[in-house]
Amino acid sequence: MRGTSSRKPKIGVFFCTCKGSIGKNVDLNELESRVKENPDVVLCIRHDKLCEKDGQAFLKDQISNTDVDRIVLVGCTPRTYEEVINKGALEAGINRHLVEHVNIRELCEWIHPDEKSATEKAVFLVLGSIARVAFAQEVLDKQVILKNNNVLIIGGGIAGITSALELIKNEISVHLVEKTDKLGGRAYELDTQRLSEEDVILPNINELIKSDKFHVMLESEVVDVNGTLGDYKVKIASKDKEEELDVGAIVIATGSELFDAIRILEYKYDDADVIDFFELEKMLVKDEVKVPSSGEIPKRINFIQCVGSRDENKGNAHCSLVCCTYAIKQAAKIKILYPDTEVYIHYMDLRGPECGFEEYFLDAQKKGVNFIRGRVAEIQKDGKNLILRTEHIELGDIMSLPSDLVVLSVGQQASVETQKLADMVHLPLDKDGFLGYYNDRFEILDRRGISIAGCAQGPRGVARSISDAKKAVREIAGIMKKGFTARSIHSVIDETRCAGCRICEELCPYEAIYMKNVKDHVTEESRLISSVNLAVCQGCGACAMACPGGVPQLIGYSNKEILAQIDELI
Amino acid sequence: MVTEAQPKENEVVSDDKEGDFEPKIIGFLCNWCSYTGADLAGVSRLQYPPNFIPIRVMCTGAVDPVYVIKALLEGADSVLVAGCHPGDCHYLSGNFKARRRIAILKKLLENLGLEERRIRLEWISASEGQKFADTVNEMVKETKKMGPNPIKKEWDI
Amino acid sequence: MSKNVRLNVEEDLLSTVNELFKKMLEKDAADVLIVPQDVPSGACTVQTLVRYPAGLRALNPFAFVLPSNSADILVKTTDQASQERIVVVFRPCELRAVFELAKLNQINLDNVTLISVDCLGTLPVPEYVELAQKSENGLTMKLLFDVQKGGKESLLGLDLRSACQICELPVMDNADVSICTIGLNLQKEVLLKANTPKGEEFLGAIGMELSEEEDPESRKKALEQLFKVKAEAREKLDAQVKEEVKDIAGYMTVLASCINCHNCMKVCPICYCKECFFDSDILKPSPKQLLDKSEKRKVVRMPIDTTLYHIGRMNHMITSCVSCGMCESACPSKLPLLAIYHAFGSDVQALFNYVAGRSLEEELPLATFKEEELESA
Ligand code: SF4
Ligand code: SF4
Ligand code: FES
Repeated sequence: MRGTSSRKPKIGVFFCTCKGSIGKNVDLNELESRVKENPDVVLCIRHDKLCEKDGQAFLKDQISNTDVDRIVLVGCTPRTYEEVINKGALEAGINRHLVEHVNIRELCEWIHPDEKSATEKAVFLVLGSIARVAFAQEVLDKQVILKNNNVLIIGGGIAGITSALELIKNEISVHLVEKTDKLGGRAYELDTQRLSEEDVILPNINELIKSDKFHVMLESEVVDVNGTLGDYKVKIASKDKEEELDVGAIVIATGSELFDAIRILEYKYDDADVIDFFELEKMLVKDEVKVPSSGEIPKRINFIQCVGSRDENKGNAHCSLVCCTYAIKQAAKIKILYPDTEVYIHYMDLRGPECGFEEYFLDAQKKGVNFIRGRVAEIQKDGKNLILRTEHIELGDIMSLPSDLVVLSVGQQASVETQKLADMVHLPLDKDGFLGYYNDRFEILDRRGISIAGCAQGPRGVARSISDAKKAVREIAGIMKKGFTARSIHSVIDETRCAGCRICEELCPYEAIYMKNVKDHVTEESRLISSVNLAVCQGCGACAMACPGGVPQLIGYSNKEILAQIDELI
Repeated sequence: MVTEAQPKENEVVSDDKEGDFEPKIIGFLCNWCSYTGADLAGVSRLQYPPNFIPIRVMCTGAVDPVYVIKALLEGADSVLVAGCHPGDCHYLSGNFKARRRIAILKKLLENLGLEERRIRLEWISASEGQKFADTVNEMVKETKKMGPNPIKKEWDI
Repeated sequence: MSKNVRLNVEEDLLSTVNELFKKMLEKDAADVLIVPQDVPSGACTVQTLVRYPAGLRALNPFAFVLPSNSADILVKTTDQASQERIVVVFRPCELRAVFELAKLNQINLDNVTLISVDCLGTLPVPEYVELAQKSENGLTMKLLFDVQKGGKESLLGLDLRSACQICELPVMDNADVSICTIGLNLQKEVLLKANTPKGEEFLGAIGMELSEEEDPESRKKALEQLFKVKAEAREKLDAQVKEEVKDIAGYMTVLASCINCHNCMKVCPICYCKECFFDSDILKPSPKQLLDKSEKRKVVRMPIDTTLYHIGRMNHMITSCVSCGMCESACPSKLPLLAIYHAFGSDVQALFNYVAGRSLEEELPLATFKEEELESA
């Protein structure tokens, strides 16, 4: 076995001059000759830039042409090029744990102007690492297969449904929890073909329901989440019962909710003829618009933008991203239905992040939609008539506009469900109350087996919810099917030596340690010993320090390696 | 019986003469903060004496006190354990665990007459290159004042 | 206040207590007893496992000898699946170790009833055996009365083990049941106390009627006196050993005679590891490493790493050290291990406001941490 005296290590030491920036204070010749005295060193060689292409080629060449079985790289800080170099070494057949990096640039060359002492220190550092790497063990990256590979999707809106279909396509069983009594959410009530920037085809819910891999729980809610990737226990409360579900991963697709316009008193949302964009859309999908109080076709319609959005005092600070596009398209459609109806859109500034927005805007203008820049101060009721009092920034004027129908473009805000769930799975919310931080941190979440899809991350339209959901479950689907590769630095437990005191379990910050029951076949004693869940272990080494017996060891940072290094350094 | 004069015990292993004593200080630096802080000191060309020899560990919470004991018994004159500031540990709480272990060890060694200042636990962030250099400078100065690690005189450890 | 009952001494104390334990088995209040009994020759007193009344031959929980810390017996007799109801009679220092080991998940206390006895101390095993062989029957009673009476000649001039001389907890008031002897007229009675609901139920099950009587004055006085004597001895010993090892040179003088047998670890109830770190391969140097050492250090004491073992082990177990002194008793070289562990241990435990084995609730210092603490350290 390597690491014991029975087999002599063959160590290759590579010196990188970092394009000449190492070698002025550290005497590389002296360093090399001292290192060569070590009987374990079989190769001692210099290069200018090991981190670059030809350096990598050189490294691989040297490794392939000699019988070195572990290497020490002497050069710059491992914080920069460790991964690059380890990868190169691996391609030449040296496991990453058999590579030691010695930083003589930041830790010698650049701080010690005195050649003698800089070199002396460098000698120590290199010899220390040689001693350490001699005890390094080859550990191949481990493929982890999960205990449970069903996925729980929380939320049956467009993001949840898309996620479910994607997963089912990948042969993964899905449980979907929806708090209302039907699937679909808001998206299926909109004319998405008309509203969206791109061609959107809503997934077919029936296709989903037909699948035997799809299990839906309507009027249900998640009340507790425990466990970790591959082994989640989720408590779900339905109308008349509470049940526990075992799943491997969780997709949070709790969506957003629409701002409740009643909160802005000036806009008189309690008036029958003041409606929000969603109510208008329900009429538009039937190709007719009527004034609710009279049942007549409206002659004047006013849209008010940013209701509850970009308004820290009365609503939410964030921009809801899709309302401008929706209003413009709804207005254009009204003009097609009723060319004689006057349509006004009151806006602060128009925001349409998707491409194509400008064309829709021009098209609406062409169709006769009026755009008025300014904040609407209030809506007054004069007998049966609604009157908008608003500023007109371009004219620098205050105007009163009579209106048969007022449409409030309410924005999206974080849903209460999202916030409750975030708490259950210990994820912090962004300042707007969404799980928005996680878009670019997929790796961390995937490791936990949690994915976030759709508006739970922040306001967005249908098209983006669909594409997001697909992206969000792609990784999860892969992990559920094939498992994944554990972090290369992780803890390993020598089961035969574990006394089961559980201090490591107590001190692991990630709950990566779990106890498993074993029965000694000789003594029949049944006892708990600790085990590492490689899906979760981050390689912090807390367990290794926690255990007085040295039972958990951190790969690449084992007691033996570090003690050997200390020995050599003093 | 005539015997030759035996060398005094302490001459056997200790070559340090008073006065020009150059201490050796071993430092365990956490990968995420203090090691990076040391790198920054290098990048900023902050000078500090070469008496300090660093060992990179993943986290202060992974520094087994046995490493510190070992370093001191082997003859290190001081030992530094440096990591992220409280609350900033890359692994959430490693530094809090380290603080307990080091406190225990210090108490034991203090009782054996080893100066408390020979073991130091410091919080040095990735952006505190200057603090890193200052800490090393200070430790070297202090250690010189304390003199060689008394353990070095005892060859029968 | 704990519920209690006076148990009248019939023939003599030992046979009365023997009967009491018989009753536990007869009334099916326990499946197995773990109790100290005199060996047939009378030369020593050892722990025994007893399942039937007939196995109770010579119960003697008061003997002035403690061959080993019995906590380990519970480690060996309980596991995750334990079902049998076990009743043990342990001394306070043994129970303290039980508490520590339970917190370390080495003992499953679910079905265990803990009975403590007042402990007036124990003699080193060889000295006790010599004494026991010389004396007629009734050595325990004779010593008990002697010590209760006090005075210089109380132990036939012998010294208690140093652990016992400085004992912090000669009585234990959080075992399920305690058998109290100190300050009582043992020709007439002993006191049984139920300190927990489990203990009350247990005494009820063997037909005891409990009341809430205060400790008799004589007991209060005797305890006060006992605590005072022990505290004085403790202070003296702590100061003395701290002086002895006040520097590394002093410590090395102490360690000079260590023969590296690691008995101190083997008999330590707290050392629960399956294999000691300091015996493991992790510390085993390769031949090359070992020989290279001589180049660096010029001279190397063999076997290597004696001091690393001592400081390292102390660092591992000191927060849970219950000062039972088994280490010192087992040391062939008579190193003052108990004195060191006690003096150092109380310093360390004080850092965390912890007293090893004081209670089951206090968290092990090594298994937890606080965000705000030790700021100056
Ligand atoms: S290395 Fe850290 S994360 Fe991994 S099991 Fe140990 S304590 Fe937990
Ligand atoms: S029992 Fe005594 S001799 Fe044996 S290892 Fe311990 S201190 Fe040394
Ligand atoms: S990672 Fe720096 S102290 Fe834990």
